[in-house]
Amino acid sequence: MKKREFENNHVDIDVDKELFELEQEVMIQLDEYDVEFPGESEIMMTVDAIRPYVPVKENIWKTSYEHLSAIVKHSAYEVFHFSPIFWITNSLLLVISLIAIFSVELNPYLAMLFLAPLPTIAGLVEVLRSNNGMAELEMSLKFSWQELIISKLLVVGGFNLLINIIFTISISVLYPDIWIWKVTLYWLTPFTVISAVSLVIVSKFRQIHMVTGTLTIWVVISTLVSQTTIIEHIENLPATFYILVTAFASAFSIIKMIQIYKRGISYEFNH
Amino acid sequence: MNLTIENVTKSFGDKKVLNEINLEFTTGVYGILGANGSGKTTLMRILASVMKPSSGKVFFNTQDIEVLDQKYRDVIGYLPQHVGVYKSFSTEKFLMYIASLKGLKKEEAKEKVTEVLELVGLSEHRKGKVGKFSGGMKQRVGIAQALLNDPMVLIVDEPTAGLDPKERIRFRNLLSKISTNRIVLLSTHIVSDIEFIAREVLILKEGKLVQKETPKELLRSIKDKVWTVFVDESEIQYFQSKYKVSNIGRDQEKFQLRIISDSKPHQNAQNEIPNLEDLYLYYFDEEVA
Amino acid sequence: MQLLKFELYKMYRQKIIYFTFILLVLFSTGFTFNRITDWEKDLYREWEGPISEEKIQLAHQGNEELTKKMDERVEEDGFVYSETEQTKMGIYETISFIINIEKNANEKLSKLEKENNYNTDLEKAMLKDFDTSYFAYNKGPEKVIDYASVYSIFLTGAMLLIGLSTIYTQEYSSGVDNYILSSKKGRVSLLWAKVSASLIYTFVIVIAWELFNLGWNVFQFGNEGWDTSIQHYFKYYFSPYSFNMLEYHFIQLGIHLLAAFSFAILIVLISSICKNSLIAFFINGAIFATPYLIVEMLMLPNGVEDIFRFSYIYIMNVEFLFDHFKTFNFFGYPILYPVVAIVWMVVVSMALVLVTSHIVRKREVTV
Repeated sequence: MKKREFENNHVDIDVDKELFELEQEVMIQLDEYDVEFPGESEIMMTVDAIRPYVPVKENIWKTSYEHLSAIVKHSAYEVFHFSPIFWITNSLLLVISLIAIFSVELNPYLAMLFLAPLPTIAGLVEVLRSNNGMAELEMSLKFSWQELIISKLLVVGGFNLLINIIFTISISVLYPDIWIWKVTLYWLTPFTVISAVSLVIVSKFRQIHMVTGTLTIWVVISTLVSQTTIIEHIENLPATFYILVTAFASAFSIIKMIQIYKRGISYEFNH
Repeated sequence: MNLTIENVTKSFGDKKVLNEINLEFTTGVYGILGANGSGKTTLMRILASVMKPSSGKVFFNTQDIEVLDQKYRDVIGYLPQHVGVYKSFSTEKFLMYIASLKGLKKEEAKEKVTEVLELVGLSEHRKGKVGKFSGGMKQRVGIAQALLNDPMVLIVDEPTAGLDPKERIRFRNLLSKISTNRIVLLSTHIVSDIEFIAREVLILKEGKLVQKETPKELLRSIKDKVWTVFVDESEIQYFQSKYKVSNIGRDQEKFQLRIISDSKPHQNAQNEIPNLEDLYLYYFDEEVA
Repeated sequence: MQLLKFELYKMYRQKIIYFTFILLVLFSTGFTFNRITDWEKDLYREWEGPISEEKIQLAHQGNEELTKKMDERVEEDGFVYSETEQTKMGIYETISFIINIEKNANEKLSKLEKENNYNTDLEKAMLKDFDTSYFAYNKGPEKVIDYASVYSIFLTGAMLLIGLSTIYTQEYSSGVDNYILSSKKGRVSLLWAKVSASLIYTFVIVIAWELFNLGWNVFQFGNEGWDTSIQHYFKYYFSPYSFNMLEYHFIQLGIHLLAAFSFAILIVLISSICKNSLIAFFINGAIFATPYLIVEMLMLPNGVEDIFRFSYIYIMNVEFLFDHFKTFNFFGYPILYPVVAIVWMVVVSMALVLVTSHIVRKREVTV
C-alpha cells in the first residue's frame, strides 16, 4: 500500500512538470487574448432578436387592480340579486335593536357598539345561501366562486358600513354634544372584529347555524353587558385599545380575503 | 298482497300533476316510465305516504293506507329521488338511525345493517362518513336504508340516476333478486333499467296513465312501427323533421336511421324488432326532436 | 329509546352549543370577582338571629355613632369610611330595612281590614303568617337567586334557540325527511323522541348554569343565610310570600324549568313548520324577546302589561310572580300569579304538543 503511494508520487512529479509548462503557455495566450467589443448596431440586433422571448413584466398593481374592480363591479350587480329576506331581516333587526336600545336608554356610544356588526352577521346568511348545491355550479362560472363570495361579502360589508355612517350622522345630529370620533371608533371596532369572524365562518364552517349562533351570542352578550358592570370596563378602555383591535381585525380580514381569493375555500373539506 | 290506487289526483294550485290514476299492483317489479314532469315522482311520493293525494285513495290489501298509517309505513321501503344523508354520520350510524326510525330493535337493526351493507356492497365503507361518498355510493346507502325493514312494498324513484354502468347492473340484479314476494315499484327514464326485470311497465304522460302492460305486450303493440332505412347525409334532415328518429348510425357511405313511425317511411325501409327504447320514444317524442 | 338516543346524539354534536355556553357564562360573571372575607362574616355573625328590640336599639345607636364619626372626619381630612365601618353601616341599614318589612306588612293589613275585594281575605291570610325577623348574613343566596332570575333568561333562552331551532329544519334541509316521513316511527314516535330529547337538553342546560351559579356565587359570597326570608332581598321587599331563600330558590328553578320546557316544545313546533332554519330561528327569537321589548318600551296599563308578562321570558324570570301580591280573578275566586303561571305553562305545553303531533302526522314533503 505504502509502496504504491510512493510510486504514485514519483509519477506525479513528472506530470506536474508538464502541467506547469502547459499552464505557463496558456497564461501567456490568455494575456494576449482580447475580445472585440461589438458595435452598437450588433448589440441592438441581438436585443431585437431576443425581445419577443422576454416575458412581459407583470404589473402586480395593475392586475390586482383589475381583479378588484371586476369584483367591485360584480358586487354592484349582486346588490340587486340579494333576496328580499336579506333586506327585510336587516331592517327588522335594526329597527328592533334601535327601539330596544333607546328603550333601555343606553348611551349612544354603546348603542353604536352593539348595533354596528348586526347587518354583517345577518348578511352572512345571504353569502352562505349558495351552499345549497349552488356552490359547485358557481365555481364553474366565469367569476370564480371565491370572487362571488368576496363580492357578496363586499355588498354586505358595504351595506353595513353605509348604515353605520348614517347612524353616526343621525346620532351626531340628535345628540349635539357627541364626539364623532369616539362614535366612529366605537362602531368601527366591533364591525371589523365581526367582519373578521364572519370571514372565518364563511371559509371554515359554512353552516347556517353558525350564523344564528353568532347572532345570538352577539345579541345576548350585548344585553348581558349592558346589564352588568362590564359596561364600565368597556367605557374605560383607552382609545388605543380600540384602534389596535380595529387595526388587527382589519389586517386579519384583508389577509383572510386574499387567502380566500387565492386559494379558494376547500370545498371538499367542508362537505 | 296487493296495492291499489283508486282515482288518485294530485294538483298543485291549478296544475294537475296526477290525473285520475287507477292502478293495481301485485308482487313483482313494476317499471314506471315517464319523462321529466310526467308525475312519476308525485305518484311515488303518494305511494310512499310522504304526500297525500288531492283526491282519491290508495289501498294496501284493501285497507286505506291513511287509516293503516304506521302499519302501512312499516311495510314500505322508500328511496327518494334525492338521497338525503346526515353528512357527518358514518354509514353504519346513519343506517342504524334509519333502522330505529323503522322501529327495529337494536340487535335486530345491527344484523340487518350488516346484511344490507353486504347486499349493496358497502361493507368496507361502514365506518366512512356518508358526506364524503360519491353520488353512486350515496345512492347505494339510500337503497340500503330502503331495504332495512324487509319492505313488502319497495318504492324506488329513479334509483339508477347516479350510478355507473357496473353499479346499474348490480342494482338491477339486486332488485330482481329481492323482488320475489314483494311489490317493487321503480320509476326511471332509463329504459334499460327495467327492460328485463319488470313484470309490467307503466307509462305516465302528463299526469295520465297511458299504458300498463308487460314489456312483451308493449313491444308487440309497436311491432310494425320500427324501421331502418339507409339514406344519404343530405336526407337526414328530412327524415328527422318528419319522423321520430331514434338512432343514426353510419354505415360506410350511407347513414342508417332507426325510425319510429306508424307508416312505412321509405320504400326501402325495413321492419325492425322494437325494444323499450323505441317504445319510450313512441310515447315521449318531444325530447328527441 | 333508540330514537331518543339518536336525537340526543344529534343535538349534542353541535359544537356551537358548547362554545356559546362557555362564552355566555363567562360574560354573565361581569368579569368581577370579590371574595367575602372572614372578618366581614364575623361582623354579621354578631347580629345573627331573630331581631329583638334590644338589637334594634343597638343598631340604632351604632348607626348614630358612625354617622357622627363620619361628619367629624369629613371636616378633618375628607376620609370617609373604613371597610369595617362600611360593613357595619350595611348591617345597620339591613336591620332597619328588615324592620320596615314587618311595619309595611302591618300597615297593609290594617288597610286591608277596610277593603273587601275578591282577594282581600287571601292577602290578609298570607300577611298574617309572615315572619321575616331572622337576620343573618345572606349575600350568597341573594346572588344565587339573582343569577337564577336574570342571567338564567339569557342562558336558557340563547341555548334553547341555538340548540333546538334546527331540530326539524335540519331534516328538511338534508333531505332525510323523505325517509323519516315514510318510516313507521318517523312521525309521532319521532316527535316524542324529539320532544323528550329537547326536554332533556333543556334540563341539562338549566342544571349546568345552576351548578356554575352555585359554585361561582357561593365561592364568592358564602353559603350562609339560606334560611333568611326572601323579603330581605330588596327585589322581594313587598312580597307576601313567606319563603326563605332556599325554598324560594327551588320554586324559582322549578318555574323557570317549566317555562323553559314549554319554550323548548314551542321551538320544536316552529321548527316542524318552517322549512328554513333561519326563519324558524327568527320566529322563535321574536316570540321570546318581543314581550320584553313591548313591556319595556311602551307604557302599558298594568292589566295589559301583565298579559305580556305571562310570556316565556317573564315567567322564566319568575321575579314578577312573587314580588307583590298579585292574583287572577277566576270567577270571584283569587288565584295567585305563580299558580296561574304554572297552570298556563302546562296548558300551553300540552296544546303545543297536540298541535305539533297533528302537524307531523299530516306533514308532506315539499319539493
